[in-house]
Amino acid sequence: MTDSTAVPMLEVEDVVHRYGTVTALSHVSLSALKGEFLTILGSSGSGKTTMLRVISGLERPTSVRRLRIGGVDVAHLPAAKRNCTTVFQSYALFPHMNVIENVAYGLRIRKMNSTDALREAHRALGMVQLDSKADRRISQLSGGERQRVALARAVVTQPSILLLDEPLGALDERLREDMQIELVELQRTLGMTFIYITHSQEEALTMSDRVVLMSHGRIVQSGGPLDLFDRPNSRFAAGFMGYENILQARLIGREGDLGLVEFPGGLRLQGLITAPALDTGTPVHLAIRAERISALAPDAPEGIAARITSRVYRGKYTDISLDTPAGPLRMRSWHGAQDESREIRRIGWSTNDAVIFAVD
Amino acid sequence: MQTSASAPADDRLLPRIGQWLSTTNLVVPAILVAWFAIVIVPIIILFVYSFFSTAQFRTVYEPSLDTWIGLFESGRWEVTLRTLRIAVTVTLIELVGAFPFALWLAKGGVSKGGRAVCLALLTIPFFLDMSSRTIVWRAILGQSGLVNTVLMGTGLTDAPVEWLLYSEVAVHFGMVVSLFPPMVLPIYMAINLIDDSLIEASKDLGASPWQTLRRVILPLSLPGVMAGVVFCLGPALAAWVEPGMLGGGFVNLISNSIESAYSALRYPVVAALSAFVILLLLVLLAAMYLIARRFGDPASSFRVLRG
Repeated sequence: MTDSTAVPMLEVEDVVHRYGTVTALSHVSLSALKGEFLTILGSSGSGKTTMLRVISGLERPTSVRRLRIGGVDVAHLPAAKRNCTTVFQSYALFPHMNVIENVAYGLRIRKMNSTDALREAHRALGMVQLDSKADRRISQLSGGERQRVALARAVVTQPSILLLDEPLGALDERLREDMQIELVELQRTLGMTFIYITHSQEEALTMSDRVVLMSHGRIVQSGGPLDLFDRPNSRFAAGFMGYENILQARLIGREGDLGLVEFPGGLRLQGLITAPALDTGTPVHLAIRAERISALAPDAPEGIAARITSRVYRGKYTDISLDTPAGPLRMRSWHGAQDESREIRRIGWSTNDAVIFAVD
Repeated sequence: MQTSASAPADDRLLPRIGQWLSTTNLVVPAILVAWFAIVIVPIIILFVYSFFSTAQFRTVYEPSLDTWIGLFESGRWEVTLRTLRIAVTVTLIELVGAFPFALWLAKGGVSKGGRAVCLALLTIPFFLDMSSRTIVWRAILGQSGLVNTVLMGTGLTDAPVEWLLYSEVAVHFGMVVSLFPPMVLPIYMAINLIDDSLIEASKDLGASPWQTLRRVILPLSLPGVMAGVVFCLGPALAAWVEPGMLGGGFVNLISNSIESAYSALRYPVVAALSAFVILLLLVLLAAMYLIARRFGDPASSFRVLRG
């Protein structure tokens, strides 16, 4: 994030959008600073793509209280007049133009003379390392190359905001990882605000300054990648961010952020409370990641008793299912670590790794 | 190539045929040979026939240029020019009307039902014989026809409007009506193939609706436009029903000359005139291709079809 005194580049307040009877966006507000890499994370149907289309102007929302880009009210402007461009999921490159004509399109539209437009387009292509293929037909490019052309075409007009709709979705894993790094570097170089849509928590965590998690047309949680990864504040967020163990319990005491929960069998455990307003006595979830659980000596004073029910070897790691007084748990042991094969009688974790939030 | 029709009753034979067709390279040559025999050979024979002549209602099978020379000496220039003028005018009217209609139908946010109804309506003219469809207009446009009755009944005119029937206007009108579907359908197909995201990308990059039309939709719909022009121009050049029925003998086109030559048993003249129409069509299509290049590279437009 850049300095907090900067004016928000994007301000969206209270947007509602319905397709017929289906509510795609329900009172969503969002803002992004200049130069910020903001990721909207969610599964399909969460409303994230609709959100992007509302910002770009390709979709007119049912209602919106405020929609500003760079301080300019754009709520009633068509897509063509908004200072933002989109990298489409399908790339949407013009098949009747070659690479350089595609990239120069936005400039030619703005009546830039062809020499300047070509120079700028070549510069943008150079930025994505594709200058050597300027005269190729779109059909002659690979998926990764098309992706770069789409990127160059979108940034060549130097918009305030670049909107990216799952741009890496169609690429294979290796290429995706390379492109993640390249995208972040490009964003730093241009100092442009990126609004990035993805369903992959890995992409969201590695690239973003800030992540907004959406579900069913609402924002579930937003914050830095670490906040979302380590401090989910709802069952949905914890599940989406990959918490394998989400247990049912009751909150019996709290001290600041630290909470004490009791399981049906009487077992008591501590954890961090991530949802602010949580009264003692209410049913809660306690969630812990499988890889944060470790085996303890059988006579250790802390931790809880456990019994192995199954082991599943998964290549890089082994998943171990355990039966405990808190309920069934899964722990993960990296390949080669000693927990992978030895008997386990007792397990434990750092209190900071267990999070407590309300049952929804 | 794969025969995609897989009848459930016979799930062995068809795939086998399909496999056989795809492994042997016979299909394309077979189609070419058949097309050559059915379409190209008759045209060649027609062309050859035009170099014979007629004497006493018999064809003289001796090569000569008499028929062609006679064709240009007998003052058929006027007829040719009229035919060309009417055919081109009709094609242009169709284009001006059909493109916006096709654009609206394909991308104008028409509901599925509305689109189905429009497409069904466009095919209705094919159900009916062209003469029957055309002759109805006589009753509507004639001196004591529907239009004139209404015009005089409402007091808009004192005497019947004469140019409504048996005039060039009537011939144009008849052709425009009957050739509208062949122009609309290919353009509609071509525009329908354009991915919506391309149009959105154009808007998103700052293009006005007009710029999007000019730089994205029009170039990508060129294959359909060209097909529509071919389907319209060809029949318009050879039109026979409309000038006969709505022209009432006052609007002579090449087809009328062909007909009169035919009834006089002057087959070489028929052949020469028909060959001449084909040549005219080729010249016009070449001209159209050159014009189309101004709006976009027609060759690259076909890339959309190839995917």
